[in-house]
Amino acid sequence: METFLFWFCGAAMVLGGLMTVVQRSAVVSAVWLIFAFVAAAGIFALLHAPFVAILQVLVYAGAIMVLFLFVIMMLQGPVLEGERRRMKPALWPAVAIPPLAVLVLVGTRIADHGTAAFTTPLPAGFGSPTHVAELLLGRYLLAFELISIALLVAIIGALAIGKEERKLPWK
Amino acid sequence: MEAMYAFFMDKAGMGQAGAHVTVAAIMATLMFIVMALCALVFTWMERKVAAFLQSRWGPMRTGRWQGWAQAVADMLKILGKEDIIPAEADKALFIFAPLLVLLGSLLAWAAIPWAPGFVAADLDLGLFYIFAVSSMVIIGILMAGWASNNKWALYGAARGAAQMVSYEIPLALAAIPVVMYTGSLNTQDIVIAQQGGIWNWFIFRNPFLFVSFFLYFVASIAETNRGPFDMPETESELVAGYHTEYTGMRFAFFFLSEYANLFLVSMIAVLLFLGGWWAPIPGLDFLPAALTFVIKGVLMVFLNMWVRWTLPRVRVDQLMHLCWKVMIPAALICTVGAGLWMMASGAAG
Amino acid sequence: MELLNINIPDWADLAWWLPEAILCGTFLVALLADLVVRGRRPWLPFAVSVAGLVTAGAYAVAALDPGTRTILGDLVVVDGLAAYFRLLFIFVGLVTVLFAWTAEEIMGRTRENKGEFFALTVLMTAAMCVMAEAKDLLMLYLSMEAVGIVSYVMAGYMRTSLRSTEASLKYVIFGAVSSAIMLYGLSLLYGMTGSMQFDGIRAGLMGGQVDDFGLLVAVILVIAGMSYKIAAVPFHYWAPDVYEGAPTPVSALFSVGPKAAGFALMIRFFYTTLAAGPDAAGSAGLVQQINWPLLIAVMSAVTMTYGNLVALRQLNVKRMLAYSSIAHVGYLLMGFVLLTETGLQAILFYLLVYALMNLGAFLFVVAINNHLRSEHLDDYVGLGFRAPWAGVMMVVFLASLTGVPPFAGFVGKWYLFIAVMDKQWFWLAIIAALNSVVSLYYYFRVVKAMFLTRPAEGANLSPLKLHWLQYVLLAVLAIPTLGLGLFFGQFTGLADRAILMMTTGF
Repeated sequence: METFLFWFCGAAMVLGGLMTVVQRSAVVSAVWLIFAFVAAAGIFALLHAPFVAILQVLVYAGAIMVLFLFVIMMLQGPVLEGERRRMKPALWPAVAIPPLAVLVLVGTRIADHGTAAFTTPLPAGFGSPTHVAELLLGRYLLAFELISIALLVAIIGALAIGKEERKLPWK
Repeated sequence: MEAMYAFFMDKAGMGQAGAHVTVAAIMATLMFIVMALCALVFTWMERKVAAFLQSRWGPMRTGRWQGWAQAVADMLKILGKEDIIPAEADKALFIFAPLLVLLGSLLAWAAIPWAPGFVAADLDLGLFYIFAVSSMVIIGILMAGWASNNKWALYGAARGAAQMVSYEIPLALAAIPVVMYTGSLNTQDIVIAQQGGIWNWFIFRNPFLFVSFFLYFVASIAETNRGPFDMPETESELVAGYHTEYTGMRFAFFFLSEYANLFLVSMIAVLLFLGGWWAPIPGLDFLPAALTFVIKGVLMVFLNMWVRWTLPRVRVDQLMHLCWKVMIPAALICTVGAGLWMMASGAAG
Repeated sequence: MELLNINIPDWADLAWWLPEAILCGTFLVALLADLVVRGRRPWLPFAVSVAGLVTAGAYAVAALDPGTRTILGDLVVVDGLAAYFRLLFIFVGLVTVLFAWTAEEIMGRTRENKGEFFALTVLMTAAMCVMAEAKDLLMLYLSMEAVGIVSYVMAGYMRTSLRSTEASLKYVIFGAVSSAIMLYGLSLLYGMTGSMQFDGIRAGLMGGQVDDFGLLVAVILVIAGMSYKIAAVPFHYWAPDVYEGAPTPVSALFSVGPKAAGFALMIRFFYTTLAAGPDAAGSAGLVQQINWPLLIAVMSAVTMTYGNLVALRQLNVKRMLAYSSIAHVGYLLMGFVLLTETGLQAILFYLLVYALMNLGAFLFVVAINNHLRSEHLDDYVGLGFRAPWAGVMMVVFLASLTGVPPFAGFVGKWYLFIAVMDKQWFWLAIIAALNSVVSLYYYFRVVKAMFLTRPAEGANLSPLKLHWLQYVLLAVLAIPTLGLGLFFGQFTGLADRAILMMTTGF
């Protein structure tokens, strides 16, 4: 059952990723990306990490992709020539097959070799919020802080580059 | 729930997987029926509450008593309407959007603990799960607005998304003190922790939780896109917002989901702060748990409607200001304050 | 609650991490300072940044010989390599901040966000230090991303300039793609070995069990991601446009800082995880299918040749320097081919020399741009007489970049040549030598324009008065460029120690 679900989620994720890239309309691409994220959440759930799975839905599929869609819709950039033209269906395999082949090859060969490192039984409480919190604020505290600073920089940068001094009509 | 599993496994002779699937199907159907009922009851209730607050009668004719059948008639009318898909719409997304909105609400409903042991999906991360899947609603709304290819719809969707994404933060932050007290994200555990009369409800546990409740309430109004935060569907400027182009069944989905979400946030408020299925005073113990829960939920819905029909609509910038500069800091202060209070009162382990 | 045994970082470890901690603190204080003065008095964040960098530098000097310490939850390691690089980065950061203070492109009257610029430079320095220290895939990726994010912001700093915005956008897009590629490789590595620690990965690889083909794919993806950071062919596309579009002080920082950090990362990652052992040949000895030295050697040869040949055609000095920096990555990769100690020491020493001379050359461009608002070669005509001191120092930098004795660039290159010739890779050395000859042409075209070309009739020949700080900084960079060419023993010794500490410490 788990193996089946894994392959199902994996296939859904690859499909989502593929459609994200292939689709010509940015909005439809984004919707497929959401699909891929939800499939990824499924894989996390199968890995006994329910917290991460829900986080994946909440943060990526929920918040971040909403912002993506929001920006795409609001900007509505000009439709480029290449965007209007559809890729010839005959070209699809040419684009899709090489990466897929590598993916499948790597996947199966890794699967063949077994995953010795991961067959150890999971400790009790694995993947619970408490566990995640202890890792995040314990062992990986430095990484956690590094992310927070990097995100702070991203915010400052976005403000510095993107801000526009504009008088609002009611001010 | 346990009894249901036992019934299907032993009496009906199904395997474990079979029992799970059957119970899930039954619960899903049940939820859907309750959701539909909600929409019916609440449309009628909304009109009556609005009328009451505006000193008029509201629907009085359909069905004898207080025009109760008006909601049914409306629903039949909506379902009988022609299903129109605009020629310039993005068809796939246009069709998919209402489903996604409904799916988001329905999934979130699954983790509501109606009574001890009676919850469709008893998840350890229940509360977290509710917040996560209800974010699907936002995506559905955005898709609807985009796919309609209509500027009112797009503006409505953009406003809705901005508003809901922003208010999700104070909403979740306001719930954190409760989770700290309970030490669990399981919705049942949260309710169980409030056993023992009204003074054990989390809203009265400490002043910070009291403030948290109101933060949650305000954020929940914004989350459901209702007045005074109903910019996504302001009829005076945006026709009907993101569902302008929708008719018939698809419109009904949005409609259904709106009232389902209204009840959902009210029930979450009840389970987080108002003691879930526990009766406020010992004398009311005789009521069934689920009934107590639903009554409290309906009272919260009434409060919501009261606010909607009393306060004027806020402006978009006021809305954002309120969220980012008032409510989020306040919610953070409440979180820290509640933590300190717990330490001081020895409640922290 | 009984869970995995949680390894909580020991706060006493922070003592070994003071320079980085100070830099992060400086970043925040500088931001707050800018907030307090509402961006109107940029000298305050500037002063804070300089003070922070100097303090951090002092600690870095004091901790130049730290032994080998794995600290803060085993995420970073402070050893000779880290100590060497963090000193280099703090120096580069300090020079950039000081020079930005005098650059019209940053401090001009119409510019905005001056305070943020200094804060961001400080943070970039800190993140680069972490890149040199990372010993965990998580830190490796996060520090690269942190440097990347700061870079994207800084490249687009002149937000009203179309070129700058284009530079930033290109950088973001290429950066995101390369991050994704590298991340895929890293995740495969983690999946196959079950560890995110470098030594854990090594142990996993030693244990057999790991699929060769998967490993091959993973390592190629990781190399691709890192090559982007150091701008090696074929992952160099972003570099010229970004260097040209970004404000010149930022280009100066980009051409040295992230590149050196990328090399530090590559050295540590490949040496401690994939190399077969201290003495065996091969960049990735544990991955057998491909002749790794040959792959890196070809990359090195192609990178330097490409950089030099394209630089020949450039008339914009800044763009020319961008291509020259690609060429220098090619030279640096020579030391990486065999992953021998000699080679790594040569890389470290050359990075130091390269930092000095390349910063110097870029800063000359800044100084001239302040007055002429141009980086075009035609506008450099006669500069040697309009600004003689600065002109002479520019000649020093260019000569050193070419690798002419007695300048430091020559010694640096010499070490790199020795590293490959030691192991009989003569063809690579010959290509590198030929490339140096080619580079002579375009470097000295600048010299020719400055000193030898006769200015057109009626050209403005009034002397240029540079900011005093610019003279000081140019001298600070030029004197060691000259001095290291003659007295290099001390500093090569430092590089040797750094590498020795890393190789024996693990």
